Amino acid sequence: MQTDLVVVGAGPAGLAAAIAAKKAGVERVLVIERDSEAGGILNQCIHSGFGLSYFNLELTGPEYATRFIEQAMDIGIEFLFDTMVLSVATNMVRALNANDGNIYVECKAVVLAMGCRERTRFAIAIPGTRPSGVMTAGLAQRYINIEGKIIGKRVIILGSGDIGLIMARRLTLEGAEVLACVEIMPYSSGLSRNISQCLDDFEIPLLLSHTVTEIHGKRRLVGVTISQVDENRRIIEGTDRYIECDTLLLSVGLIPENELSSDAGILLDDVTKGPIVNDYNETSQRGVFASGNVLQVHDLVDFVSLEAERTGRAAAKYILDFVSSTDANRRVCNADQSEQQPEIHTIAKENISYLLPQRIVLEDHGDVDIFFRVKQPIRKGIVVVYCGDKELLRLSKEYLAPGEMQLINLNKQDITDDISVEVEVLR
Amino acid sequence: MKKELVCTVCPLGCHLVWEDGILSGNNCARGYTFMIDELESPKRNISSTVKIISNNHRLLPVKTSAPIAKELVKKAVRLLMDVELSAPIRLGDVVVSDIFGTGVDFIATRTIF
Amino acid sequence: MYDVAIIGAGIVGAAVAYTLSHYDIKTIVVEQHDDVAKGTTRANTAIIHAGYDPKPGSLMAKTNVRGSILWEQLAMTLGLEYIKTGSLVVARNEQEAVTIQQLYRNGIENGVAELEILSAEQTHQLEPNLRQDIFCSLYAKNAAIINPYQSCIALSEYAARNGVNFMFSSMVTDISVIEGGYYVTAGNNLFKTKYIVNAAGIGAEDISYMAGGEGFGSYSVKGEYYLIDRKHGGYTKKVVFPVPSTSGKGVVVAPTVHGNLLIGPTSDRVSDGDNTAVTAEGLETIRAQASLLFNNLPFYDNIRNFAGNRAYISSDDFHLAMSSTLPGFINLAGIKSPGLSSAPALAEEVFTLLFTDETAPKRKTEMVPYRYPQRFKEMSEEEQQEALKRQPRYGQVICRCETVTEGDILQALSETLTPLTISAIKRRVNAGMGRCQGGFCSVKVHELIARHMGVPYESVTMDGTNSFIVFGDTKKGARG
Repeated sequence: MQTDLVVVGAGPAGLAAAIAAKKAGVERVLVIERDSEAGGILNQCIHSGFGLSYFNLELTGPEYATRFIEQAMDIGIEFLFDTMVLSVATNMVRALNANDGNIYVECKAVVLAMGCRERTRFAIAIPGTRPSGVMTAGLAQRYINIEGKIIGKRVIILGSGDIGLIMARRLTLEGAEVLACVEIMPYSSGLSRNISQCLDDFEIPLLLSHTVTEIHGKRRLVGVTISQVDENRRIIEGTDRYIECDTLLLSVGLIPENELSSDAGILLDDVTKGPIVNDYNETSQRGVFASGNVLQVHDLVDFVSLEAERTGRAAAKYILDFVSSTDANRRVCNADQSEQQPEIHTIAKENISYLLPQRIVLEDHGDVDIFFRVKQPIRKGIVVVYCGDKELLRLSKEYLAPGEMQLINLNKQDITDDISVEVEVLR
Repeated sequence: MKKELVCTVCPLGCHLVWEDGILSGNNCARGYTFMIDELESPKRNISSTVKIISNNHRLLPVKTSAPIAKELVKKAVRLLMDVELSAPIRLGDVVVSDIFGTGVDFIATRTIF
Repeated sequence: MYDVAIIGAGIVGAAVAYTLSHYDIKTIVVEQHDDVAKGTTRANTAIIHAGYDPKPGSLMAKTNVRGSILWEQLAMTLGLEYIKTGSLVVARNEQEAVTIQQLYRNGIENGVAELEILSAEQTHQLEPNLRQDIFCSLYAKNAAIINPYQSCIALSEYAARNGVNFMFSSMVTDISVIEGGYYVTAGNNLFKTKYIVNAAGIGAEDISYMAGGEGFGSYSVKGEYYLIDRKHGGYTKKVVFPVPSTSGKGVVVAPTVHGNLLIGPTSDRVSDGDNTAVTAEGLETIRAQASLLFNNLPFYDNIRNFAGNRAYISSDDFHLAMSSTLPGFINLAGIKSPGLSSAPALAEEVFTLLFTDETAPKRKTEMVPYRYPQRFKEMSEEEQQEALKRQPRYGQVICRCETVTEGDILQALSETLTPLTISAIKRRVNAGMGRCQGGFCSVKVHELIARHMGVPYESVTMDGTNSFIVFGDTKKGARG
């Protein structure tokens, strides 16, 4: 099998990247999807709240996905469904499905868009037994919204990110009693509007600075112990409380799914858990790009779509300018820089958990978007951007939270040395 | 009279404060409308599912075509309990019309062939 | 009327069943749970020990050394996941080095081949992640790692296909002595048997008492574990032990046959043998103990914690004997570590206890062959093509973390002894055993079990009795 661009995953990132690449002139784009249809996790996110910045409309997950799926179909993007990609290299993707068996796809470039997976109770090592009735919020969402199954009657939700909050409302509307939403941090990382419309509307308590400290029940869950924690997230003795429940939902974080990437020898970032990329979202493997939650866990799908479009265009540029060009010496966007050009790194300093991209290519001109997250909520801070030792930019911010990705736009002409970013906290 | 709430019109989540007929904290006019609605007759959008007979799907996702009175939310969801459709259904098709005489419908939020 | 009733389908019961299946007798295995390998066999360190630990002359020493040889053969004939990694016992100081010398002499006396004492430098060459301040180590080349539940499943499946009856979800509630044998009440069943092999693990003493037999001074010791993501499988190449203490072999750091890293166990006496809860203190102990030998253990990539209980008795040795009061009633008690290693040899011992040369039953001339089904992932490319031709569903990946296909799951569902639970499938083909712990695939496995076996969706449990996952439909549809 042959194509120009293989996109791994037909979720929001894969769809947007495929569409953008095709529109930018790539002749054949093949999207390989392990599920039986496109849309990815959006298909089970039946609540609204998507598309406000991309479409200026508030859409549900399936509606948001439909807009991209229909466009992809219209412009002739090819799909392989129920197909699992087993390995990836710049010019070859191996996949497997029940119709064709082992499939070898020759291609010119690859966009990785596998998304992310959920952290489990074991990732945070909650002690106790291992009964049924303990599941990640996404799995519960699938059981409820896709399979149509009741997963429990008395529910505790651990984690107050948006997924946890949304599930609190869904479960309530489907007849379950959500006893509490428990959050280890002293603040919720979810949107205020979701706290209001998903918890407050149904009088579900939000227990901040609390966590689940033991899981009980040998077969089905019978209860959990919750405890209060101090500012260092250490359990405060004597605050243990047993709550009888049959279901514990975990919304305790997402991890980019980069098994294919690491098997391909692609370098990953310890903090983002996604590939190390340049400003074209090209990974350390030439011609292999990454976008969406496989690259970094996003807050909003709208940003995934925008990022993936940039990636799709970059992949198109790579295919059209470089691979198809007879001038083999021409380098367009390559993380593996030549000796002549200095390699520009981005460096996260004080109060910053990560910067993306980790590398900047200086062989062309134009803008570069640098995304970052702060380590903890900051009220009144100044974002300072340095180029080497030189201060490049100061931006004053009223409020910065880890849950909200920040963006700085720089002109490449100003970049002569490594870029570092820090936040000065104003007292 | 004083009332504080989080505006849920968009993800910005403005912290609205209503004090003696004066609104503060809003970033747009929709915040004002939202506060008035919350004071007089709070409304909510609902998303849920209904059963569908099709090859690949058990459920069809649906939503209200417009916000409905908050006190009708749970009752409205119960209306969906006994609905059963057959594919094909197209995005936007009315699934339950005129919920409790509100003029608001439940509509399909995706196409299932 | 059965000739032999084996109580308990753990590794020992399965090994006995396997051994007896080669003879022309009627054998039954009764198990309280819905599946084999649900007690100690399910949660242990998964090691075939070389045999230098046990006291020379003990039954433990004899069966461990013999068992480790038998396992290598069984792994070949049954197609089991088994890797002869070798093991190291690492001493941290001169005092511990004395124990290393002792273990070495023990090993020689026990007949363990390929033992060697290594210097710190030699040890580091084998395991570079060990701390710099270690002193020396005992290297046992013949130690191996294995998949305990797969081994138990394979032995049982082989036995079942060769005429051994298995009775699941049948807790033994009464044993009455009758002329020439016993009446056994198990679940809703009542049957007669000439001999009983009590292989009930931590429940062995209860079974013995039930029949009016002796006690063994039994108690349960819980061991908790960390299972670390496969990406750290190369952290150690060999099974690495600290120097043993009175409370056992200590916290081990070992690779698993699936490429994970296993760290544990703790060793805590518990009053309830059914208590397999993991505790904050236990996990802390593991981290602290393992860090005495190793640098930078990757606990941050933990994918599962679990715990299992092992059967202790007042004696240090295994108890394997005909009951002093009950004729034809064989007890296996206190089968703690190295019980897994010893199991096939213990089964041989059981056979010689049951039968004399004169009473020995006829050995069958032909056996129904059985090999554990190979998973798609492990097949060569030609084998994969062949499998896809036979069953196209081998092309549908269900568990993305462990690359388990629908074909693998359908194969497991078609085996004789597979119960219809998500965990049973997990134990057989690894679906859900990876880093997402079934977050994506458990719903698909659920669906497959219901659809292919024609059982109601709601009746599929996570792991047997009452471990329900869903409680019915959110929407009734036209039925409502």
